[in-house]
Amino acid sequence: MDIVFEKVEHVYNARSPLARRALYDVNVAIRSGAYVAVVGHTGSGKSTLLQHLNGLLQPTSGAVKIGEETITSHKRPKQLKPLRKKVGVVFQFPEHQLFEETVEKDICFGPLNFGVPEDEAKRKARELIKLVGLSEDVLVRSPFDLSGGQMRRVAIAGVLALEPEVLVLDEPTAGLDPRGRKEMMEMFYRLHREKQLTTVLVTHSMEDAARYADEIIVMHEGTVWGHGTPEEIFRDADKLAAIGLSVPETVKLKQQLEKRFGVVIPSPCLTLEQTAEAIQQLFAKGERP
Amino acid sequence: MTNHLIIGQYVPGHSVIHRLDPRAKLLIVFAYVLIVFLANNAATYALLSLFAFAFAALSRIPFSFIARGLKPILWVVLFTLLLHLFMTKEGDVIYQIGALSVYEGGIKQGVFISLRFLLLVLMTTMLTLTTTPIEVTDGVESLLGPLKKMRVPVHELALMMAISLRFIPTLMEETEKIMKAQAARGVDFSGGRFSERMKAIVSLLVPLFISSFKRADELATAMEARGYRGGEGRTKFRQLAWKPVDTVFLAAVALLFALLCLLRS
Amino acid sequence: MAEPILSIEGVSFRYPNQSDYAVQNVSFTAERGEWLAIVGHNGSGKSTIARMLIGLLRPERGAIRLFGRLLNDATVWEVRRRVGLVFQNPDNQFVGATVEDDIAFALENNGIPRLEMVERIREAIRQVHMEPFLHYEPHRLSGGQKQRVAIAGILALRPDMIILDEATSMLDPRGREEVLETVRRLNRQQRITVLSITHDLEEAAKADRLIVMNKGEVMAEGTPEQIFRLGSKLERIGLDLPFAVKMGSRLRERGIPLRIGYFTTEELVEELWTLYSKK
Repeated sequence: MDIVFEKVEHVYNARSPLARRALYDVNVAIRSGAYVAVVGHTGSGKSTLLQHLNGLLQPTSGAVKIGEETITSHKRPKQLKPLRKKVGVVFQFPEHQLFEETVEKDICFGPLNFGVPEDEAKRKARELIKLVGLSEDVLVRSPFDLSGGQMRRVAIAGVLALEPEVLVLDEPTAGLDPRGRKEMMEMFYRLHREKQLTTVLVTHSMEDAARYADEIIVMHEGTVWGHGTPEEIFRDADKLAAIGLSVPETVKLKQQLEKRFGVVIPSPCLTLEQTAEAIQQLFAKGERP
Repeated sequence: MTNHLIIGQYVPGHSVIHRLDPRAKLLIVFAYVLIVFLANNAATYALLSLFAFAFAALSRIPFSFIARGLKPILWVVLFTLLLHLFMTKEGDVIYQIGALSVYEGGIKQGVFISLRFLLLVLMTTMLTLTTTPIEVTDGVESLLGPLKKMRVPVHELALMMAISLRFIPTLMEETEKIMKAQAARGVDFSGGRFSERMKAIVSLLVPLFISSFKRADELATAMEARGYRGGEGRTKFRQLAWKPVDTVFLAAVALLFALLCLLRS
Repeated sequence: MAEPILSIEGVSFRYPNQSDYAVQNVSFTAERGEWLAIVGHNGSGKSTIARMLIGLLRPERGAIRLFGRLLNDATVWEVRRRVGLVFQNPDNQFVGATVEDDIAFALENNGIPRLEMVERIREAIRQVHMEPFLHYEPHRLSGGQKQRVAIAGILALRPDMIILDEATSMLDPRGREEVLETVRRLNRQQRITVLSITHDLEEAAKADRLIVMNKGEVMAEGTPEQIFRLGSKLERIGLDLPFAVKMGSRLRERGIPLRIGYFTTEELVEELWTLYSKK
């Protein structure tokens, strides 16, 4: 499903003394099947942007086109329900949304809300619990007896159960330890490829953006500051630094090497492997500067 | 951003009313609430209204803002008025439609009772509009201080109140987050059948309760870590200072009381 | 050698109704002015140690000594005055209605006279660079700002030691930097001992000394250099290595003869340059 933002503006508490413009002049297109990372500071408009993706927020002006649907300031919430099934959102700390007595019931909650028959929802729950890396016997347990990391996986399964075409992830690894973080990011990447999802990842981690995303959208002070491939976005570290954002460690290394060695490294150096290879080549050439 | 509802509705300002000692304000409002019931004729009601409006004017909060705050209770006022209009059968009949007759006493009673109600709400609103919740808490704690001797846990009650107030915005933010997360899973908070509505409410309340208990637990641990062990031997950062102007305002209420006693019939 | 400011000897702990120990036979010391990091995956027992250090939990076995005195019911309140703990969730440790009220909270608990309080609050707020926010309510502050207020609340008590219990894990990169920078400054300028409990090895790399916890036990102890030599052993227990270390080991695999023992990108660049120019 293609997603297109056209001149989107969002003002909180519009027409009141507390009005605050969180987004303006946002024109951006996310093509179907892409893995897009949205980066930017807290308060840059990232989270407001993502809430437009499934109609949790409506633009105060402009339009958001999601597949066949168009959301404008006039479109009523009633008509937005079908959209919410197509666009699944995993919020920050998704384990805070768990409430059912058993894991199975909690995973089935979403599908049942959208009218999926009960036995099909249950079948899905069994499939998904394995997909998120938990064993089937967790299904009968109370979600509140699980560890924090397991609870998060259950909550994610609850969103995946909607079988969305677009998966929106808001800082899905916040608070996890390094191993948990890595496992979770790999899981989303696998889902992205296997289910041909359109994935939108909101993150503070430039490493994750570089590692997984096809495209990066940089938000700054309520509007799109930059949009391009990781290579394009991270090419100009100084400009990013000017708005308080950094580049991945690998790109930092590449830039420092280029400066120190007086050479140009052609590789974008987005991952450790890529960077190691680029350095190896640099040494193999053996030419003195 | 949760700004739809502002609990306490404090309006920042530096008016004389804002700067009154919260204890004085609490006493004034409390006394006013009691003496309102002394009024029983036009003169006494006029006097009470004059006092309340003068008090509101001194706060420098725009009347339009105060009026907006009073809007929700207008229906109650109207209902009271109508009730008295038709139910009180005193004095001459002024107007008659079929079986319903409006008596002179009914009009009088209706107007007085509605006015009394309006004045009560106005004065208590003035308290919250001009006093921060934490000042109210401090004032209550100080005024109830003597009760400590009777083993009433005044300090604990005040701290409880202060912490609850502190966490209201946090919990409202949390509520909004959970509602959004459940909405993304297909919950419709705005409509649906009764059973669907119940389910929607459960899907909001259970997570909210769980997170609140977790917060309470963590907060208690943090308080202990920061050396909290009850009110014993504790000093207070916030100190209330009684100023001459506070005495003047209390004297005005005493005067109001005296005049009411003289003028009531 | 001076007596350690903190020493824990053979401490074990298990939570009620649990058969497994959360912390088992743990011993270590901290010197005055030191920055000591305790690292480990989630659930490795790090936070349990923090809670025991200020008497929020009581060890089943073993002894904890702070400032040369045994931690027990008689000394616990003094310890809580001299040792400040910053918790993970910025919201759930903010007690006061405003920033100044929150800083005052611990002062009130310790019966500090009001006039002195005002002075100490002013001093503490300055040390965390939050002066403009003195009258702010917590919901108008960012996570990093709230954590700095928590630190100010500790500073107002003129502490000897600050414990950061995953204090930066819920913050965005900017907030994390703000908090670490504040604590680093206090550690250097005022020689406040810092015990930082974290799963972020990048953060731990800047400590004087590291203690690695795994499944409730101390797995290793040493300088960052000594610890990072463990390499993949750390990754196996769920931790991540600093970028320069990870990069270095990949380059060695590719036959570039780098030596071990650098943790920052700058050091790695210099090392590569030395190798390159020798060729």
